[in-house]
Amino acid sequence: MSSHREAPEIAKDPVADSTDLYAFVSPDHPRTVTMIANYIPLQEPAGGPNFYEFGNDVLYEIHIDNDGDGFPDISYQFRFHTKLTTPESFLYNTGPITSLDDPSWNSKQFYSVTRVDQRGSSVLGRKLACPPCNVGILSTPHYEARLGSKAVHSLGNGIGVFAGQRAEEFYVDLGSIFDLGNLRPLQQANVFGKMAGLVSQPGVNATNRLNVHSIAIQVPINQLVRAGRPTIGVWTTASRPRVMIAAEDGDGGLHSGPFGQVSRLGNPLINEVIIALASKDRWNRQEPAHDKQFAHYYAHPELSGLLPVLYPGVFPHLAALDKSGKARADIEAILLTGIDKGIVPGFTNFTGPVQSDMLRLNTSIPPAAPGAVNILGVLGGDLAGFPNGRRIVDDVVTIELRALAGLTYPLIDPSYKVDPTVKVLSDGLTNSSVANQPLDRFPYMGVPYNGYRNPS
Amino acid sequence: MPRLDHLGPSRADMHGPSAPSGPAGLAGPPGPADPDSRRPSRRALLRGATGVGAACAAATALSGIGGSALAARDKTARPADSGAGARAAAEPAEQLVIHVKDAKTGQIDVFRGTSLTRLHDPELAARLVQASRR
Repeated sequence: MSSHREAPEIAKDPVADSTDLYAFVSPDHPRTVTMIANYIPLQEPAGGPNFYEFGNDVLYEIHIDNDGDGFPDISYQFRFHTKLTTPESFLYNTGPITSLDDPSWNSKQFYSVTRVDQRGSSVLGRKLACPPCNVGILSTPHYEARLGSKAVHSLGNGIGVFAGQRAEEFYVDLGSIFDLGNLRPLQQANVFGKMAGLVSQPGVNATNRLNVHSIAIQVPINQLVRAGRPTIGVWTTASRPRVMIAAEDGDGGLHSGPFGQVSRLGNPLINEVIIALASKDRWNRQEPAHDKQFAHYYAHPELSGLLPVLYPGVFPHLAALDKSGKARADIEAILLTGIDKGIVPGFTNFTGPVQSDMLRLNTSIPPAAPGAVNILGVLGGDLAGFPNGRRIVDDVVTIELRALAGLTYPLIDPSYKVDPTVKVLSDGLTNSSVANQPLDRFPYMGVPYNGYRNPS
Repeated sequence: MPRLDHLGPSRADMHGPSAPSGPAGLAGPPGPADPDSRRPSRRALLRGATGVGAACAAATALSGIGGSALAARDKTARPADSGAGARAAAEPAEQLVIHVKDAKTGQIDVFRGTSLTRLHDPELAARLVQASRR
């Protein structure tokens, strides 16, 4: 998964667990950037009676670095609180929920949005309503028309915001990837798959028909960038009070001290498959500015070394590259500094020499026309896609698999011959593997699956 | 049977215990005072339900130490760790949580509201340790 349950500690704290981060020039409002941070992974839609909600004790933030130093220049903070309409009922709702202020909806959640920058802190919105979870056809009829779309709030100055349940749009064949790297389309060549007599099969989207909670904000580009620097770095964090003491009588308890960061996400899949297990929790607690300490994981990715072993004879050039001990400067550039001018024609998202894991979005590159979107992003010749920020549809699993398998190494060594299989390397999924497709308007994340029909 | 465990770097110990999950539901006020709050114990001190008592003890000790303790205070805003998170909703200011990080060196963290004050006070640390053993 992009970052679902990716580290030992945060896997036990799903409310604060960031799953995916997106940042892209809004296709229908190209003077704005949309940033979406997803939390609470793998939500089974029928998960009542206590349906999912954001953590009232968690500080959620989306950060923007606009000068390339790996520190936030702008942070959007989101704080939540829950209000019970009928505290003596055990039910999430006591009748159909037909509006955001419907008294039948017992457990409502609200939030505030604050912008923090060098000028200080300013509250952009208070008491903003989240939509309910998509409980089912009787409890939440006409979900998007009556509830989801009504939870898009304008904060003025061209800023829009949404926070609430959405369909999981990230697609990945978890069941195969974490079963000894067995990519189903190539499992006949996997050393273990071959022994088991497996044959090539399409991928299975393990996150299909599950939900997440999205925090989405759309901001005019001129409120994010510095003059002459169109590329921004974006990441999200979740923080908890440093001290938490459970009350003996079950209510309340004490939260004290400053917030301490417990979750972080910039580029997809990094803490998942790049950072080693022993360093994952520490990675989650750092700021991008301090990522030099992790650079060796990017320079010598473990997965690049595993592929030739898992697929004997399939990646001979990659095996030789691994054996040479040469640093993967291509991976370091893509993920830690951005790609400098002159490497990919007509493209750069370089932010400077500071190694920092952020989604780097060159806001001067216009969004691709709907028919021209290539889910392989820059690898597919579509400069508006990952690693230029990240769109919801981008196939980041395939992109990163192929990059780690050597596809991008010729960017720094034109003499390197890419193994032929790399160009078809994939977990066998595309964006069409997702049942509820993204919306064509803010907040873009698809309508959440309802608990009556899912699972079915 | 091929194995993959020789390929990666050797696994080291993970960092620290798991972060405890806080309540995800209604953020209510602090619970009522602990009926055992008059019994001094380290656990009671850390629970914070005895915050007033802890505050008194700490205040008394601090006043006894005087300028040396104040001089050793290290108000930690921790922007590198918490981002902008230090600017958050306040907790009841009368509740303190005192963490004796190292009794030998006297390193003590005092959590109050959304702030953290770091003390270097071996004498106070020793008194707190002694109190916890009563």
